[in-house]
Amino acid sequence: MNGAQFWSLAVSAIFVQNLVMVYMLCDGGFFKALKSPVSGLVYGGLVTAATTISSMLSWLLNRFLLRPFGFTWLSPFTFILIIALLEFSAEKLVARFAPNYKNVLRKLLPASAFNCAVLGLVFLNVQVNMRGFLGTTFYGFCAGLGYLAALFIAANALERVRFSAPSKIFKGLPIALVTASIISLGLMGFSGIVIPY
Amino acid sequence: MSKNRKKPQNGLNLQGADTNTVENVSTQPQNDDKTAPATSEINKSDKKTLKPQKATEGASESLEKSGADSLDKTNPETGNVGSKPVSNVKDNKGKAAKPAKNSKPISENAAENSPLKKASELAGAFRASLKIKRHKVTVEKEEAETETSVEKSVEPDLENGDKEADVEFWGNVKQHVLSANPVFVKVIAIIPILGAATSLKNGIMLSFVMILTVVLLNMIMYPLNQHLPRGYRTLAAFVVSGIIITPACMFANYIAPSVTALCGIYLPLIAICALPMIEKKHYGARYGIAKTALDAALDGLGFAFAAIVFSVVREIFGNGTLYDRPLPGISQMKFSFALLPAGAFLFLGLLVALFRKIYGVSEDNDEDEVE
Repeated sequence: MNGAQFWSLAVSAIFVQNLVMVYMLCDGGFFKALKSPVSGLVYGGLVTAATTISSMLSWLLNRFLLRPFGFTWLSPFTFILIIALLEFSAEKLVARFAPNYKNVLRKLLPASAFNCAVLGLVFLNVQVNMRGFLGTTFYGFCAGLGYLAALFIAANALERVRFSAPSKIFKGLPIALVTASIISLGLMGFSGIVIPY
Repeated sequence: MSKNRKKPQNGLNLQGADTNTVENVSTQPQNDDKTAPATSEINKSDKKTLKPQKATEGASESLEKSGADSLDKTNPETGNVGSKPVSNVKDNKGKAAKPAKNSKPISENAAENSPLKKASELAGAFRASLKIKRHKVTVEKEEAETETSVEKSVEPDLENGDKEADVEFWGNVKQHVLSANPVFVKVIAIIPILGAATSLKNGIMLSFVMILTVVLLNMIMYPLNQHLPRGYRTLAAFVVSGIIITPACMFANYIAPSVTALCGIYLPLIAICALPMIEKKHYGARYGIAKTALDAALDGLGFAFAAIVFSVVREIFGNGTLYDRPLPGISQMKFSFALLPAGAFLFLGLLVALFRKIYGVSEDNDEDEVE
């Protein structure tokens, strides 16, 4: 793959096929992480790491184990097992090498690994399956960056909403969902771009 | 000083003495108070101690009498009236009185303080009993209201069986499906609904898989949670949900391959969305596995309700059809914004706001919970 293809993959992953605003892979944790910028940044970084490593491992497994032997029906369990092992090893690594951050990451690690964005990206990769190993890994990294970008945009939008005093029933998650709808409408402007990979 | 003297007199007449006046009087220098008449000062001090506690009228009157009686008893013994009120006020405020020049007033204060303290304690106890009574009355009223509201929802045909169990069961159903709906009120497990609930067929498929997954997950995790340490419960639940979702997806693909293909990646994602719906309150030993499975099924039913309502709304608005059959009159008016991601977010936000309006849920302390 040349540089132009990588560039088009990055634009595609971050804007055109944004995980949160186009594929709607956001749960309550996405809106809870918006409330403080530091935890949002750490959360987005952890999600980026999880998407990168899990898409890499899932491509390897899918290419060399599931497809040749006809085990594609087993793909949900396999990918879930990969992500679970990833989270487990990350917890062990944190406890081994950085015990000071153990309490900080105790809630953020499961919330970022057991995330719909990570598992959904793995399934999307399997659906497309024409990017190659490097392309898949780079796409996973850029999709994580897209998650971080969506987090950043939504956090800034909601900070502005907080000063405008929404009504009592819209306060909290409903106004966050309506804001996400408007941001998603903005990102739909990229949808005409056709990218070969 | 003139202000400080006028306020307590108004307080005597109007029965509205504030705590500020007490502080002002207590901070007065000693020399000025010698000019004031003694009896009025004593009455003031009594009222000041009693009024801020907001006792009822009958209690305050009786307490005033007891205080006045005690003062009347002590006055004739000493006969030294002029220096008494200053130390009196100070002691009522609770500050340590400086040793005065005359030794008599201090001994009298010790005698006077005890009935006053008793009186204030009595007033506090009376107030506490009043509060408890009011609380009991309000709790009974609330219970009566909830019982009537639950009984209204029960059908009259169920009188023969165990009525209490039926009332509890239907209340449980109402709580899980409507008032604590996992999608519209708690806003967990929204991803399959946002992504795939674009038609009624998809909604039925999603709800079927979700009920199956949630019930099996709870039934497997209930015995596992008794033995696993706390840090590994989420991990184990995630793996178990992966084990459950694989045959569930295969079964769905066997029943209706076209609908499963339309759901796409959102059908296996139910494995993650079922994780917050584990009944964590059932970790204790007093619940059985049957009750856990029942509550999980009710949670799944709540998800099914949400999925079907959301998919029907989106299908009617976006496509003009219902269960892939064109509706008369609407089939030409297609509002395709409802089928887009933006429309999904907007409709879900409006429905969440509607359910919060109906059931009175609001996020007042949303800024406190930061992970």
